[in-house]
Amino acid sequence: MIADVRQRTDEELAADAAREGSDGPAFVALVERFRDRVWRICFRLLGNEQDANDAAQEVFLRLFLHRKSFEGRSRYATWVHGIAVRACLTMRRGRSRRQKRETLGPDDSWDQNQPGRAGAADGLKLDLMKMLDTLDEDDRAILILKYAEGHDYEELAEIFEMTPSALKMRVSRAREKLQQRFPNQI
Amino acid sequence: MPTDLLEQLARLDVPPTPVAFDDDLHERLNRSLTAQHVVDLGLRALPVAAIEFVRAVCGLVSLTVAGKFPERKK
Repeated sequence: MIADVRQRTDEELAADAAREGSDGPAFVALVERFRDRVWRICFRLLGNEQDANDAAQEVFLRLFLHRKSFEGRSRYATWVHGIAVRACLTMRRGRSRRQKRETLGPDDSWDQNQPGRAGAADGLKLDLMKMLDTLDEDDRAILILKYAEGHDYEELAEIFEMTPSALKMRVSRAREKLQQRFPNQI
Repeated sequence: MPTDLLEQLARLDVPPTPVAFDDDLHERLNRSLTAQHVVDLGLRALPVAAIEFVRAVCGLVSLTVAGKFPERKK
């Protein structure tokens, strides 16, 4: 059974999971297959482990509750990544609203305590995250998925529900905005 | 904006998925399913049970007064 599950494609497993009444072997296999990728996306978009953990669990919960609504119009992986991105963006928007209400300082994501944040070489990376934080949420997410996760324009277009040409334009404009805002950083 | 600066994003360390992730997820799924079942019970099963109970009581009253149990409409 385990070998059988491993040989099946994501889409076949998704179809099996849709037929399962509870979190059966197909859904468990999908969680195992996508756990690390979803976690990575959530961490990159949210910038801290606690929120990333919360968001990644929310993603799999949504996948489970909506497991019958995957229609196969895109790759299953793209569908999962789309859900992950939307969950993270919702969480970030909620977080920034909370911060505004509580009139705290600037966004504290990607704090210095995260692994890989300390050290001289990380100074530039920290600057880069701060620079990205000046963009709007969608632009920031698009650039992170493109450059950190290596998604191509077609995949990103499906995730963000726009055409590839519109997405290319969006990437280009986001880069221009960064260039205008931080001319000395380049 | 030179591409190589943005490409540094890929080199940012991402911590490994927490060890307890699966257990936490399982727990969260169970909580969610329990909540869903409670809502289902409250919105679907209990109203039907209440209607059947009231119907039975009405039937009993009717049987006592008129000597005839009301027939169900088909």
